Amino acid sequence: MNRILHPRSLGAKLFLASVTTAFTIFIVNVFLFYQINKVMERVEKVYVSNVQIIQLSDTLLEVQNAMTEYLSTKNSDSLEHYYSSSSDYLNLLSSLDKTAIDTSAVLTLENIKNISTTYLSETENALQAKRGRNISRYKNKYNNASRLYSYLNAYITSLNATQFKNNNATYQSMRQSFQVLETTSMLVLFLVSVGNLLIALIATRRTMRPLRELVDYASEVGNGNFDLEPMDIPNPNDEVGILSTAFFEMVHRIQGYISELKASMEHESQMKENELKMNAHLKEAELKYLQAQINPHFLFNTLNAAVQLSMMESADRTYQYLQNVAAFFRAKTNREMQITTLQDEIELVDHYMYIMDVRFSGDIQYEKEIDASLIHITIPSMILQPLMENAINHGVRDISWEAKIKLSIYALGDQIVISVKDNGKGMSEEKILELLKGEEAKRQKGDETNGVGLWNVIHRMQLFYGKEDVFDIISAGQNQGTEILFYLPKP
Amino acid sequence: MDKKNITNKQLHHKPDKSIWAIFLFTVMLFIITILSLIFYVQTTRKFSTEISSASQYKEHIAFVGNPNNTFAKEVYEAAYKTGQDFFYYVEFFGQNLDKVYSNTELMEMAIAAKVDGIIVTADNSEEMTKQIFQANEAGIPVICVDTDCVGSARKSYVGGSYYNLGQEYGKLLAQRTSDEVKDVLVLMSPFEQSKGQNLIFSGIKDYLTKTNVLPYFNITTRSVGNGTSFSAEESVSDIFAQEELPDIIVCLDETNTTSACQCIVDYNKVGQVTIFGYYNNSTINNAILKDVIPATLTIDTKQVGKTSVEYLKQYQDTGYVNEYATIPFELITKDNVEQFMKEDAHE
Repeated sequence: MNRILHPRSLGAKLFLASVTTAFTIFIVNVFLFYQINKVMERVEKVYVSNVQIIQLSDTLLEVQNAMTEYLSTKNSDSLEHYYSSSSDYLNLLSSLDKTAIDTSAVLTLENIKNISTTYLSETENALQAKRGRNISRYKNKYNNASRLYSYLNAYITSLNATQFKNNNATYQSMRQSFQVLETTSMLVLFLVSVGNLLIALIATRRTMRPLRELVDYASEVGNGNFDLEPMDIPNPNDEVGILSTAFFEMVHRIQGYISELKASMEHESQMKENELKMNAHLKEAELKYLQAQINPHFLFNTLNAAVQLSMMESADRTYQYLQNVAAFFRAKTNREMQITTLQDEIELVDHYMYIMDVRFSGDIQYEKEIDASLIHITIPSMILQPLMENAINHGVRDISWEAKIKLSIYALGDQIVISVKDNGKGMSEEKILELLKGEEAKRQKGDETNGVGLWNVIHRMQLFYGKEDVFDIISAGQNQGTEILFYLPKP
Repeated sequence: MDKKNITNKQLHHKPDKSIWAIFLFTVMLFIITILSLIFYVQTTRKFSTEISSASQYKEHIAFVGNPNNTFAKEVYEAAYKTGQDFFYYVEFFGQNLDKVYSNTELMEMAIAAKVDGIIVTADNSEEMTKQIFQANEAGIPVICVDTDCVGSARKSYVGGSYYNLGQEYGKLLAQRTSDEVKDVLVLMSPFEQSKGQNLIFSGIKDYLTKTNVLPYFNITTRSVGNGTSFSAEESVSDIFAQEELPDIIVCLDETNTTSACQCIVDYNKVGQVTIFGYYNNSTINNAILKDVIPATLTIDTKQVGKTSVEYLKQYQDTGYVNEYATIPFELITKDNVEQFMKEDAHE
């Protein structure tokens, strides 16, 4: 039952709807045709009795004629005719029995039957008398029979009229019932048609509704709205149901793909941003460097002139100093490459420290401890010199005791550590934390620096190695010195 | 949001009610069809019962009489109703035939039709006597009403006594005795030049003799018509067309009385001729009401019809019945005519 009421496929549903309506119409039509046929059959029979009565009258005439003919000619053919027609007459008479429907007709028919019996016996008597040549008797019987014949005719005519009247009444009643049938049929057909129309409407709407909803959902999705309200699916097992389920699964998957795509795009843009930042910092470093490089050729030429002058005057120390200054600026000027080796950086630091030593009258004791196996690794350029500059400017500059700066490069586990340690002013715990948190100390006005600041170095290191954790600051406190450590990954 | 959650939420399955709507509609259509079938059958059954069905009866009785005669019709009605009580079907013989047959012909038909009994408004003709004899031969009992067929093989006569009728007319005449001798014309039927009418005539004479007024009346008789259709009316009309009219006319049957009532008005003889009629119908009743004629004598037709059937049944049940059943005559005058008119109207 459930399967019949809830067919699974759309085709079966449509089939069920059309079969239901067609079957109903069929049944109603069968009923109507049956009733019409019944009425038609009755109509056909209405006037049968009148036809039979007329036949009876004709046969009676034959009997009378046959008797008359025999009495006048004694012809054996007519005798035979008499017997056959009288037998026909009796048969017809008995067949009329069923047609009488009211008392008057029944009585008339009975009278006809009885008078006929009397009539036939009189004719029989007349024929016998004729055979016996009893002239007066057969004449008498003939007269009797003829009278009875005329009575019979009168009765048959009367019966015919009575039956015709009755049959007319029957016919009228049939006409009335036919009219009722017509009205009933029209009404039934109308109601059934309206009902079927409603069934068809309901069935179509029922079938089409989920499809229409699905179309609405599809156009929503087409407009880019993936956040859909839940959909009512009357029957999940039919074609529309399956289609809807598949559609929603597809929408969900598309949603998944879109979010994955978004994530990967975000990652990519992050990467691009990093690269751009790094370039920006480098450019900044370069710019600062170029600003510092005020006509280097002029500087080199003047420096070289000074070198030659000091050589001619045999001022060896001046000559030495000027040569270091020249080497330092040359090295810096040539540092156009972003990447350099640790060795080059150390050389640059050596020149720088010589200059500083002269500048600070040998007050700064410079020491270095380098693992020679590490000097060939590549690092971003202009890393070490800013560190040394930082140590001088912020560490040891204004101290009363002997200033020491130590550069150490050594391997620690899988890292290479670059350490610049001074015995200068040192830092408080808070200051260290502040620096480590990444709060860039604002550069103070008049801060004497040779181009590139410590934070620039830190940022470039972070970008170059792709990690935040590239440096550390260690200090035991005020006037206890500072050590800045850079951690490079081992190549 | 988890994938399964989305799917379940979005694909919510709601139970569908429309299938039940379709089912209900279909059931409704079948109910409509069945109801209309019942309605149709009921309606057509009503039509077919409108045609009367044949009634059941045990005996078939032929009533032989003139269907144009009110007396015969009234007797028949009463006989028919009484017959129903005994499951007798009383048929007004020959009524449905398109030709008018004489009583003797109808008798012959009834005998040929082998009816179970015959009630006949007889006459005293030889033919009638012969037919009654033949009926008797065929085992069909015959009861005569209105007029007796004296000397025939009839089983009984139901009707008034002719002699008594004569006496009643005698009474009416005696009431009109005056010093002058009055001419009285008694109109008789041609076939009834017989004992019945003679008895009436004797009744009249005996009463007048008894009351010693006979010398004041000059009584003559006339046979009206020759027995053929319409001849009676012509004869009555002839009487009124004569110069000399009798003072009193006594009519002994309904047809003559009705004709006389019409003629006395047509010939403007009201007041000149006194008519005593026999039997009553609407014409006669109106004539009495308007003083056209003073009186008519009648017989209770219901009683005649009822008694005739009862006698027939009695004969069939026992093989024996009284030869006479005398029904008294009633006098209708202006005093009581309205009562008879009401009865007629009521019927």
